Amino acid sequence: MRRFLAKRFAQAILQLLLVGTIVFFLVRLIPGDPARAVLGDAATDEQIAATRAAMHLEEPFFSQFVGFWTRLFQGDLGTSLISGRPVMQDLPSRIGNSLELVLIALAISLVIGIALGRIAATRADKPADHALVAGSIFGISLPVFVIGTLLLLVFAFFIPILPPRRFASPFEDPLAHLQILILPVATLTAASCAVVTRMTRASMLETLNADYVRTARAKGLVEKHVINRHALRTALLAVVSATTVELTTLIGSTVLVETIFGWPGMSSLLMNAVGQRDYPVIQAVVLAAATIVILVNLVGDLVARALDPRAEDN
Amino acid sequence: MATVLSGAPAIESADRRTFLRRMLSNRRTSVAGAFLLLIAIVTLFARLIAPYDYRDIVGKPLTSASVLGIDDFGRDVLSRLLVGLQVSLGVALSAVLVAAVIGVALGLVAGYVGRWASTIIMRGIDVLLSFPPIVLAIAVVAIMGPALVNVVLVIGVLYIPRFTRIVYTQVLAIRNLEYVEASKIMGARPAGILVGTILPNVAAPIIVQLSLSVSFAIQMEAGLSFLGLGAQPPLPSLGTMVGSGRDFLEVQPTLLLYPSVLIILVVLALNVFGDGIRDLLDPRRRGTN
Amino acid sequence: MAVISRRGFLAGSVATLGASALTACGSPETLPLSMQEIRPGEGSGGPNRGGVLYFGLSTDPANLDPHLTSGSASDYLRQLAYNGLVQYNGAGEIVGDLASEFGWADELTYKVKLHPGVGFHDGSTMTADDVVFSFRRMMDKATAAASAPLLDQVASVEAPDATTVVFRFKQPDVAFPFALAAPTTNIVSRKWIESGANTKTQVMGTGPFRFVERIPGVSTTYVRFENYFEDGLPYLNGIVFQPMGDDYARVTALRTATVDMIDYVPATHVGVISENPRLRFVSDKTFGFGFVGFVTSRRPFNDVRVRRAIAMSINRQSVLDTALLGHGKPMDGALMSETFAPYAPQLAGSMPYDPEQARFLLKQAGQEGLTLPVVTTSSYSVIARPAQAMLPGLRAAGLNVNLTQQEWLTFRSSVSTKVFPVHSWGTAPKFGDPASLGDFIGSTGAFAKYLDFADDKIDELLTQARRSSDQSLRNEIYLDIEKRALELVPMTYTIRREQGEAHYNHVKGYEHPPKGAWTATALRRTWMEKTA
Repeated sequence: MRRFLAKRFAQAILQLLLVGTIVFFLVRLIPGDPARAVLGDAATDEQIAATRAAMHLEEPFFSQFVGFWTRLFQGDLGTSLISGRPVMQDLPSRIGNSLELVLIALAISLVIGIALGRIAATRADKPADHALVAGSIFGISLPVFVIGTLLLLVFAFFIPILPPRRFASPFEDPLAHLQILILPVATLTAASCAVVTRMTRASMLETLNADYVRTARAKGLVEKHVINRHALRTALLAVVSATTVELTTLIGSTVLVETIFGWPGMSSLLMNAVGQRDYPVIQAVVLAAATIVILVNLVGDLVARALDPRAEDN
Repeated sequence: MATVLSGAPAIESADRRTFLRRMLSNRRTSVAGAFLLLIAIVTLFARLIAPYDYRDIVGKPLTSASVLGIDDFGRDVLSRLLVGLQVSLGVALSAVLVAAVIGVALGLVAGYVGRWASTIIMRGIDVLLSFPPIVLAIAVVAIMGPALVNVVLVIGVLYIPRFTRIVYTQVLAIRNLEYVEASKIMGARPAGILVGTILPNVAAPIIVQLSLSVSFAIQMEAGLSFLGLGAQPPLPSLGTMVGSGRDFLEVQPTLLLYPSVLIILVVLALNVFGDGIRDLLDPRRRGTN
Repeated sequence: MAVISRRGFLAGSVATLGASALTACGSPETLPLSMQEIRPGEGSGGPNRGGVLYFGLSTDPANLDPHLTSGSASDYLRQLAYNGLVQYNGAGEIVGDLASEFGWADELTYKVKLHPGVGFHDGSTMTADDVVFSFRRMMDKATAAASAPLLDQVASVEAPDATTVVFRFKQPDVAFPFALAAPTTNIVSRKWIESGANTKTQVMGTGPFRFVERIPGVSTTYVRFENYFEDGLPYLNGIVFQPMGDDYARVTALRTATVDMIDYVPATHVGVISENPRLRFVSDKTFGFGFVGFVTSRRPFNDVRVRRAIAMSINRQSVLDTALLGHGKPMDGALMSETFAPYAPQLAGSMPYDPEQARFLLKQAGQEGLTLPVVTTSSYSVIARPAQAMLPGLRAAGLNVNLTQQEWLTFRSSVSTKVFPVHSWGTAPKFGDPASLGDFIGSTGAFAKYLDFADDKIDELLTQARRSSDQSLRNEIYLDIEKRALELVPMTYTIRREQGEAHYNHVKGYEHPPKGAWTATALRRTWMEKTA
């Protein structure tokens, strides 16, 4: 276990180096000029050139690249080209805000999704199953921004109990924070809950008919035990693996959710930075997101090992 | 748990005719199949069936003059839905196909071969998964241009991890089971075992993921076309129609409603049909229906 | 591995993830509730005092430098905290700001007398020395100031005494007062800048409001500056800007009274907002406009017949009705609005929609069925929608258009490197005077450069007009310039868009700049009757 962890952490570092390198070059391949973003519409070419030089963008790629990693290893994520703020000043709170949405949505999705999936699987081809399948497809096929907009419309105008409010942190005003948390979380949950339901249902159906479950039944075990001990547990394997992917999907969905609900998370930071070609901020957010995803995958693999002693990674 | 060998659950040739018959005997699967067939025909001949050219101004904007109304640019909504369906399905299906073929292959190899192969593949997949789609998408438009083929590639590549990870975990779970061992003992080659024995036994989550991915791909196409990658106006796609319909939610809600309903119907049919096919393919579920 | 340790591990990892969620913060500094209180002002019906205005802003301006601009939304932030020498009043006329007296002493000398005893937010006193320093900073190329191109005729800036500033010119320049009134021509403290202040993140001026803080993505907060030099101003205790980039979210925030006011009401929601009796929509149709630009050096667009054919196949009324739902005006004549260009009505109808004539011109040029690669940006609907709306007309003339939408900065890069021979764009003149034509059709103009367009006659006329102080002569010259531009068609104008802000009726004193002279100073004089 310890060796496995050590190996995986070493791999994770390599992965991050790779992500950092790719993003460094990729953002510079994208056309568009951060100097233009700072100077606005009618700036002359002369002004652009002067500003680019001040941003150290005229230095060779290689020395910029070396500078980027050198600073990073010293713990410096850089300074925004546009706002002049150190990235570290904003990034932690932005990550926190995004993770809050994503983790709450994921937790709700897992609890509800696994429960519903279990119901659907054990009542396969019965009305309850059909209703759940249809409902989950509704959740899956409606684009996130449509769900978000509809929720906003309904709860701001028709049943005005959750009008949009100014963002408030949980420390400053817990009640207000909870209030503004509901709609974005609901929007995120709608799609991901449906996915978890579908995955649970499918893998449970699979395992319910597997030989060892049949054997367990044949041994005369109570059906509930068979379902919970054997079928659900094995089915959870697939769900766990889907969950890690789902988490990254959720992080991706925050791009839209944060825009619609004005949530100051890391996706809106990234969107702004991409829109302004703010290279240091893009690099920092991508690296941070990659760290989260890679860690989550690592955790997912560990959970899979824990759930299934047969799965031995080499 | 040791019982008999389940055997390779490929469809024997004698089974083919009964396969279709059994599919038709399941009402849900056949209704979904018929609907998909209809969609396929409509999609193929969309531009012939459409009452108007999807680009033409045919009436006063935001009125219900035509069958399904007129959009904000004065164009016929029905005609645009038909062409949009063609674009969305074309992009989504090919992208998911690309993702599934590559993703499943990588997952099988990683899971079965193990060792360095699994390390390289799975850690590479993590890197892909951890990369924000928007950065990748903008870079691809910039480098390769906005053609629809590039959208298929971008969505395809972004969806590879979904398939790889699911297949990988499943393969790990079954690769040491009796029937796989049996195939090995019987002298089957690794490729044969992967495709003939392991693949059919991990088919269920793949099929579910396939039908899920189509709907996500339709949505992602809409997001990418906003970034300049994908269907460029005036060419419609269901996703972009939903997106622009949002602005007129209170004036003409049907602009949002119709493409949304169409997406839901298609995805629903794909899922029901996918489930039905999976049940039929699964030797252990035969006769349970 | 024992079951317990597995569970322990699971619990541990969940706890770690949970803890990271709890670090969520970034809370805005809340203004004390007492600030929200509104007291009646002196006299009946006069401005009430107090209260905090919540403003939903279409962008989140990142760079707060007083001499740069990243769009009109950022000017609100700038002009609350900084003053210029002059400003536009509610009627769009130029009046004093920090200047008590100002004007031309002779053709080549402009004199400004400053209000005495104006204080900066840090307690120091503003002097003519600060003014000279500010202008030198703007004219320094390294600053890349937005107003710099407008100051190109200034030879020197001097301060003969503490309250007098003298500008000397290389040649006469009637556009200079517009340069002074621009929202980016602000006066800063020399001491503050020289002490190494970060002008991107810190704000320190003489304005009626003091900058408290900006939390990116959440809010930018201002509170009243007690020692503001104008008597009685400001009325409000504070203004909080909340960035709301999503059009629908911004409009919803206004309609649910989450904010008192928003900028940049999208054309698709003007109807909903104007019909609401509790809201007021203030706008202009003179300023922002859309255009299609041609790279005039590229075949076949070097043929004026082809450019003209394209210009004549744009159905401007239809573009307006569909793309902007009628909120604006079609542009079939002059580029400048008649609001500040008296000659403009004479040019109305010069570019009619005539697909037949367009076909004929294309045939003459040997370009029938020409394929037209056009680039536009998806980032702003006021640009993307007109580009889409003009397609049916172009098709009717037998043109085959390949439209490509790009994200904003990609688009800007495509336009400046001329990847596409045609671009469909939208912008606004820098100031409300025909002298701003130079940006578009003068050979050194920022927009003309993207078109590879240079015409000696136009350049000569532009220089002549900028030197002339005779209004009727200027009018004649600008008429000739616009006529020539309509003949040469380096770009063709499509529609003027209605652009404006919306606020609750309880917000008073705000006026949208009426003459196309963009300024955000009206917000300095805004007050509130009551809280929402």
